[in-house]
Amino acid sequence: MDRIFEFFFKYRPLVFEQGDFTFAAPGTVRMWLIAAGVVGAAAVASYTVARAKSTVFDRGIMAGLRVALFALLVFCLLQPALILSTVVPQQNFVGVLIDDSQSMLLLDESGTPRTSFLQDAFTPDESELLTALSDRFVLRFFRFSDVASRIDGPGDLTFDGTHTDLGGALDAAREELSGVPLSGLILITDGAHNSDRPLTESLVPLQAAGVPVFTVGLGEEVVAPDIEMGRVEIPRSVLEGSALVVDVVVTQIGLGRRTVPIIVEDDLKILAEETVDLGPDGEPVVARISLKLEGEGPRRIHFRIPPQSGERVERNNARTVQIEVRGEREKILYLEGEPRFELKFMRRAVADDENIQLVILQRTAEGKFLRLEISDSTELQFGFPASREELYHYRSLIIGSVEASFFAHDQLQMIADFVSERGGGLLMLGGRSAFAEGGWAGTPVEEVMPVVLGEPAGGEEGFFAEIVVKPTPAGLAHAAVQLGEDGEGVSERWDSLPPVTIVNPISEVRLGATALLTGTSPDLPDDQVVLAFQRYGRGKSIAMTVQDSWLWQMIPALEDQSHETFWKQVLRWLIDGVPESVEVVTDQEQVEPGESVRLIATVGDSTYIEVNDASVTARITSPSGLIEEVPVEWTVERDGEYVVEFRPSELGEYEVEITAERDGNTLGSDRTYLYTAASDEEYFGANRHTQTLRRIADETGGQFYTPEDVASLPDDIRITGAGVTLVEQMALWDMPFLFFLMLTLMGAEWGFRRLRGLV
Amino acid sequence: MSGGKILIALLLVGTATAWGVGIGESPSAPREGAAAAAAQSYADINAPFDSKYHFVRIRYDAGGFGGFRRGRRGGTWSHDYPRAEYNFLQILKETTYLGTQAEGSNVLTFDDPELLKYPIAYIVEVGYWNPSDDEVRALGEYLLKGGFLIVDDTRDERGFELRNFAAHMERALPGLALVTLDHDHDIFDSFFRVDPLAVIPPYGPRDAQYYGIFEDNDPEKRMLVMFNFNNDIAEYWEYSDMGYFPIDLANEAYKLGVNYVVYAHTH
Repeated sequence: MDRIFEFFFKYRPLVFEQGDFTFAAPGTVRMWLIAAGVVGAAAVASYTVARAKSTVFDRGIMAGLRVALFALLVFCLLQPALILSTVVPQQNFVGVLIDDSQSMLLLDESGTPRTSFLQDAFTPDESELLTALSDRFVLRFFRFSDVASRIDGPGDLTFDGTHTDLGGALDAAREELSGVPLSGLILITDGAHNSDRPLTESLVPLQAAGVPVFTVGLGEEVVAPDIEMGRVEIPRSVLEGSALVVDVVVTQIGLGRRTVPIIVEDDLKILAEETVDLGPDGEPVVARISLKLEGEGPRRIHFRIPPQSGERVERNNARTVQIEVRGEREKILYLEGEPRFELKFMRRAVADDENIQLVILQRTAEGKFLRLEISDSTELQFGFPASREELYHYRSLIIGSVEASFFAHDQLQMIADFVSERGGGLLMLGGRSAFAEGGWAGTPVEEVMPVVLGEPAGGEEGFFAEIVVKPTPAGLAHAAVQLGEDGEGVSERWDSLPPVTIVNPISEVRLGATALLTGTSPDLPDDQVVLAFQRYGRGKSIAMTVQDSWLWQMIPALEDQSHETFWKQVLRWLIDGVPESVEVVTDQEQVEPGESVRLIATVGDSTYIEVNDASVTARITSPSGLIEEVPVEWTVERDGEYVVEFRPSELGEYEVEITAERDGNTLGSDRTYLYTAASDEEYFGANRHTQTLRRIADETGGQFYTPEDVASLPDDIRITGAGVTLVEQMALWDMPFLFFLMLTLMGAEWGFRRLRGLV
Repeated sequence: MSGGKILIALLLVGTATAWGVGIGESPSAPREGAAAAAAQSYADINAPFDSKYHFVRIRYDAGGFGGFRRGRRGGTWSHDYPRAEYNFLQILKETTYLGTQAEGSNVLTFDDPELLKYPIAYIVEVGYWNPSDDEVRALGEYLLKGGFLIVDDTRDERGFELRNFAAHMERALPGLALVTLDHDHDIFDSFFRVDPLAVIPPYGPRDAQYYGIFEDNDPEKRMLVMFNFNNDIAEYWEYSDMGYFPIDLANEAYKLGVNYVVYAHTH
């Protein structure tokens, strides 16, 4: 297209974009020409009054064509031109940034690697492009992948980089060349950008400095046939033995809508195998895989799809994720206002769960309590916790059939804060003293609940209805509601369970809350919300509105484990993600040796109020056992957040333990793991990212090229106006388009006359 | 709970009698000799399921010892029925926060699926208990699923009651044996602190013993069966408002019963 444009208009579009239009004829000449043009045009227009066989319409058309021709002639005599700033040869620099990552070795359909362009374009004394650039500019070469550095020429490239950071490369080149007249940067890459840093951060300084970036996109727009495992969504830590539902996003191109297996394995064995029905070309589908992880400690889980016949890129069929399996015993406080079987059976369901300590505070009569599973005789000795320190000691709280008036107002506020500030989990159970029937409407805890409370139902007699429970669409996909070992047949399993009863009719969840189980009954006008949850502040709240889920234990067959499974999963879900007062995470799960990683610690006191004056130390143990202790500093930007950066140098698993102290007292400690390994990231999204490259060029005033049209690049850089430049005038009067236009106008008049029989 | 409070509760129990409940009758039970009684069906007089605690008495065929017949002069299963449970339920309701169905009780057999809605069951005179295979299988499943059985009213001098019960329990729960309970077991302190030896058997001084059957025969694990051997606490319940027994003794018997029910709701 550009070539056709250039044929007609003498120059390429970029010249018109960059140049300012002007008439080169001297001022007086211009005035005479314009005057002559006006007089001439008037004379010609007088044709319209001449009479012959012609009509007024004929004369008008002919006069118009003739005036246009005359005007065009005057336009050319005015010497139209473009004024451009063109660089002074050999006085300006151009940075050539070449992608040195592994993806450059990928072969196209004909078996040619992307690197072949470099041979064609940058072989000294042979390549026209290199010669043209060298004639005009002083060239500086850079290689880049995750980091960028100067090289002497393309011969120094190794193509072994495992990440690509386009922004980092542009930053490095801009800074390196900041002291010299810079006409532009040439970015040669497939455009894959797998750094977390937004590109905009690098483009703004280039715009400010007026440095255009000319991007050369390599590779194919579509790599097919291929399957790509886009991402695996899995929590960073999980309690040992918890049911996990992992989402795996898979996309195919060119293979058709076939079914392929996904194999999940750790270093020792296959953990699960699931099939996924691939979607149409380019449309991702989500495969949902249920698994349980046993064995405490950090684990690496591999997800893979066996390579399909003819696949172009096989290494993007697999993902490895890291997860920490926690083995600690988590404390849940369960306050029950009346002796009832729900407590007994829930307690029994999790009795063999070594990771859950269900501490019971059972009110048996007025002012009379039974404590079970307490750690020592002082625990809960004065009943329900009266201070935040005591309550926040627990990770989650279950409130059974207890009326709201049992609590002091401060305690109710404390329960709400337990969820929103401490980040704990709150589970409220159905019962005659629960929800609206227990007077919870209007309390600070009502806001926390995921359900909408109405008026107390049933009057003095109370409400009672038998319901059949079934999962909602959201419930079908939620780990807490899966009853089978393999996550299959969820609906069928729920259908097989006997009815249960409610005394708290609830039909609505709060805005933002999600219902996972609902129930139906002829006694209810609307479906009963049975299990619902919402995020509230840092924590989550769950409502389970039935009062006798123990019927799921007593009535089904002896070997049926639905009740146990349900409560184990719900209680594990309840404590899942509940933060500690001191926590540490890394900003990346896996890095390569030498790659920088940030340790981010959040530090709070025993009431989870952020602490900014703590002394925080990270103790980093390398795979070979070397121990390094580094101080972690408060970021100032955010309360309670401390950060330090470090670069692991060994391959394998690093253990990071942080300890926070204040005034000589330990606030807490936490541990996390970091894995260092070579990355396959370059094989994901392996096609040419034209959109990214166009964006870089457009936002900096450059141009996007492919190997097919890159020949014009040297001329284009010359007229961008960056660097040391000269003003150059480029004549337009001799554009072939004007000549063709004149011929067209003359021909049109002649043709019209012939048509109308006027010659 | 003070003795005085129990006494107040006992006065309330008197109201049960005021409802017109005679010995061996329930307030709404069809009279003996009626067609319904002949059919031996209690479905129409059992309190309907409401998810509260119901006192469930196990009815069984004692062979030559009264069969399935109801009433004091009926089967051995019905000894103290229904006054004992009615009185006990009033006490339970008054002394605890337990959601109690005190307006009626239930009579069920072990092989009645309805029993699965009531995780605490009560059985007496197990020396005469002669369960069928279906009943034994159902009992075993009931207990393993989470049910709790209170066994009462047995006497040592008959010589065979303990053996008979143990033999049938072996059929229901193979491998699980009766374990003698220490007197400081949690079940004696689940609501009231009770010295079980203070509950003197109503038939005169005897060597009352308390046994339990536990999961895996491990007293640290869940108790499935509570067995009052050589004792009869329901005898106290039945006559507590009639002056036949000292109030203190009746109180201790009630305390044991309350403890059993609270324990079975929490363990």
